[in-house]
Amino acid sequence: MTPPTSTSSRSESAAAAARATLDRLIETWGRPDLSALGPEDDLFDRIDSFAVVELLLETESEVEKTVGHYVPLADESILDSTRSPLRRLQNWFDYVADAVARG
Amino acid sequence: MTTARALSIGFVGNVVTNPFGKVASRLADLAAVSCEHLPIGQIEQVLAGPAAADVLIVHLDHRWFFDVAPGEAAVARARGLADLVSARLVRAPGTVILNTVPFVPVSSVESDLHDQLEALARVNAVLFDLARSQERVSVVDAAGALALLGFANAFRERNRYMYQMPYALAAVDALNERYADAIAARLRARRKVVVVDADNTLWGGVVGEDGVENLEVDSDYPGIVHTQLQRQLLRLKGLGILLCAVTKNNEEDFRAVFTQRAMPLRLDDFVAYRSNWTEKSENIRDLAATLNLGLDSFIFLDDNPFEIEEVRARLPGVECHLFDRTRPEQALTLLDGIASLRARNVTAEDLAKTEQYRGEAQRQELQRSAASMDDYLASLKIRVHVARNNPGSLRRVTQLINKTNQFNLTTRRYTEDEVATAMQEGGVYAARVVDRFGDMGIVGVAIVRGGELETFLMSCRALGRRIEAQILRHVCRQEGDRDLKARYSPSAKNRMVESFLDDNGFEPLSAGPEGKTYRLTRGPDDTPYIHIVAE
Repeated sequence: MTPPTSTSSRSESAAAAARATLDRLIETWGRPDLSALGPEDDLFDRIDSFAVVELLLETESEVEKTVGHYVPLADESILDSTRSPLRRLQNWFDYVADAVARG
Repeated sequence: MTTARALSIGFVGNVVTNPFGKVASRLADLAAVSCEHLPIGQIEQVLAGPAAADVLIVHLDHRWFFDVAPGEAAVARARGLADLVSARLVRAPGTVILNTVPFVPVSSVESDLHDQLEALARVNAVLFDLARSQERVSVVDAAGALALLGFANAFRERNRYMYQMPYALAAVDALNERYADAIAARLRARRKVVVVDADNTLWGGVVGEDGVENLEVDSDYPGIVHTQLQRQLLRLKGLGILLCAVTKNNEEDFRAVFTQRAMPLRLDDFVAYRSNWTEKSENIRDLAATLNLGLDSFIFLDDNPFEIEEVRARLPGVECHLFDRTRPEQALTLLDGIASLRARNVTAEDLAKTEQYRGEAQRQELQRSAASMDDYLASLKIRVHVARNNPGSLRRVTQLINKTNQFNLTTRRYTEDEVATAMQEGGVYAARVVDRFGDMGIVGVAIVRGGELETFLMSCRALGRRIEAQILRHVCRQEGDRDLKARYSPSAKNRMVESFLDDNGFEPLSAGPEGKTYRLTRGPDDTPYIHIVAE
């Protein structure tokens, strides 16, 4: 796959990669209940911290494949129950897109 | 391949182990795997606690052994870990898998760097010593797996400190591959034979056209590629693998290469070869018959895609690999990458195998020249040494139980622990066969417990001489149970023993889809030319 060139298209692709990764993990985890989550829903309360780490790891890998280089996604906010972007699913995808935009 | 079985894997480590759960999918063809992730960081507690899994994977990164630099304290920590694992193995069944420490020391002082490197090696050496002394311990080379990937690509330091997950996904995949290999090596039978083509594989060029003197097999490119392959094959032979050759050549041309060229391999490194113009699949089938081995014991290497396809299509049980001499970077990593050649360890039996199979070929020659089958069998001067409940044979008995498919009445598999338990609760018989051509090693196992012959099996290489009946006769007499029960449980591969008990003095009691049950009546007849030596 040729990595997208413009910053905005890279961010969009990264957000799509984050969505695809979550869909794949939902299957791996055997958690069909998570498939019904919409962009406004809270993922943080529905998975444990180990699953969050797995999500982060898998998303980093998928984003790396998509944009052609490693983009660290880890941040102390992710596991913070009040500030985590996983509190609202769309925020998570935006968070990934922002991380890619920042480089 | 062993029968699919349930296998539980427990994970504990000083990192988040959940991503290692994907090892289950790599073992799907061998077992139905269930995974449990134990509390992070609770290494000592888990090792000291009750056994809850068939396999316990303990994954430790360097921070468990030392903070910033390996030293004497790290070695002491490793020794403590080894003691905990040893104590657990005494107390509980199951296998424990550890890992080498993936860490690259750095220092501004050269001598300090050397000290660190030495200490790190000693930490790993403690783990290797443990694995050497404990059959139920494996140590996967995590450091090597991640080095191949490149440590810069393998580690995610931010994640290490924030989330206790120091590895990139590619590193997790590489580690999972090692874990799966270590577990699979304990579950499946290792392939026994590598059959190799000659022209453009063992050497460069075609002997019948180019002449012996022009073949490329020396220390310069491209001859070095073939020399290296021969060295690798020789090393495999040293690790208990049988070498055979099949080549479309006149036999005298093939043999001439070995007499006229200095090469790592000699002709007698091959247990058998076929140099003729017959299809290679036919020659491999013939080799299998000669060696009395199933085709699923064979691996075939050839430079020619046509030959690979011919063998693959006609002998689907044979694992085929293309040796592409024009890509040495791939060709020379080929043998190391073949998972079905891997094993936890190599027993003395494995190492003696080359001579045993050569002996088998000699027996076949004698059989062809004997006046009758009885004359032939009597001339072999067969002695069967039978030991009952000998702990020294535990490893070999377990190995034989788990890889014998054809002459196996029940195809019941046992772990080493289970065989040890059977020795305490009943009788485990190990039969070693010796004849005028050599020592075949332990080739037969019988387990009697609770008045029932629950396992009876023979390696195929000892069949066809009535040895099996004579061993059964000995077991029946030793047990002295006039009401001894026995069972035949059909599998996809053990049809050859369907009537074994009927033919050897057992009376059928019941029959159904699960098999047949029997009761001992008169037992097998004596075979006077086979002498039993009770040990």
